[in-house]
Amino acid sequence: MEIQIDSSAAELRRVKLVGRLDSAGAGAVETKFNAATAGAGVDSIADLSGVTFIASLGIRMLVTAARTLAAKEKKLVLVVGEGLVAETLRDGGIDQLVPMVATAAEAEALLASG
Amino acid sequence: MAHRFALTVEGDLAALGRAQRALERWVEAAELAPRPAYRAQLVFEEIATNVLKYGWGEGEGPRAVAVEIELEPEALRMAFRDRGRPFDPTAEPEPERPASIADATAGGLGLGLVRKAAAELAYRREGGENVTELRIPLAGA
Repeated sequence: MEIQIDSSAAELRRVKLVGRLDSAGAGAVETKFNAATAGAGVDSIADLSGVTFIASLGIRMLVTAARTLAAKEKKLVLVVGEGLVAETLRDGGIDQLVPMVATAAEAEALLASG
Repeated sequence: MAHRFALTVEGDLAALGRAQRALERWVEAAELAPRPAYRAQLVFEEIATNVLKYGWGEGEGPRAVAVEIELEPEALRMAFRDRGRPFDPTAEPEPERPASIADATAGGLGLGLVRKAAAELAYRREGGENVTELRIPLAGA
């Protein structure tokens, strides 16, 4: 599991995850992911377009960050294309809690619209 | 091509990661369609994680869960066996969906994902073991 963090904008974190977000994958990136998103306390985009598999521990990592950001009146937006990862997130009801869009541009537009 | 996959995961979630790599290779060799291949790995991940994390109390064990998968013409049949504390996944109530992210709890998703992925889910306690069986259809992939 790889994590790439773009902190070039002061008020936005772009985090790209690549690989399998299963128990092992979530365990490998969770600390960095939380620090970059919830810990930074700024609007964040988690790009899951490179994630090939997601399970509940990976979903838990995303929900925890989104909940912490919401408490700070900030948002986490997920970028996830159509496919089995998106299907799993919908099966878990995550699309009802955390915005899911298809592209990074859509995520930035959503955050800009408030 | 092997029609059967059998493996025992012993220890912790690191061992589960290695087992997932083995299952990933098997579903590729079996040339399963993407959805049943994905669901087999998801169900394995969720049930094995649950058993290894919660099947025994602190300092108890050894922690282990065995899985057997049979590739049938129309479905994958999966069976999990462990000697942890009794746990009937079919008796667990469906967790309430939170109304907002503020109400969301961090856990409890895994069993719901298993129920979505599996066409049938059955449980019995047999000879001191939890036996959880389910079926993943190959159609609709």
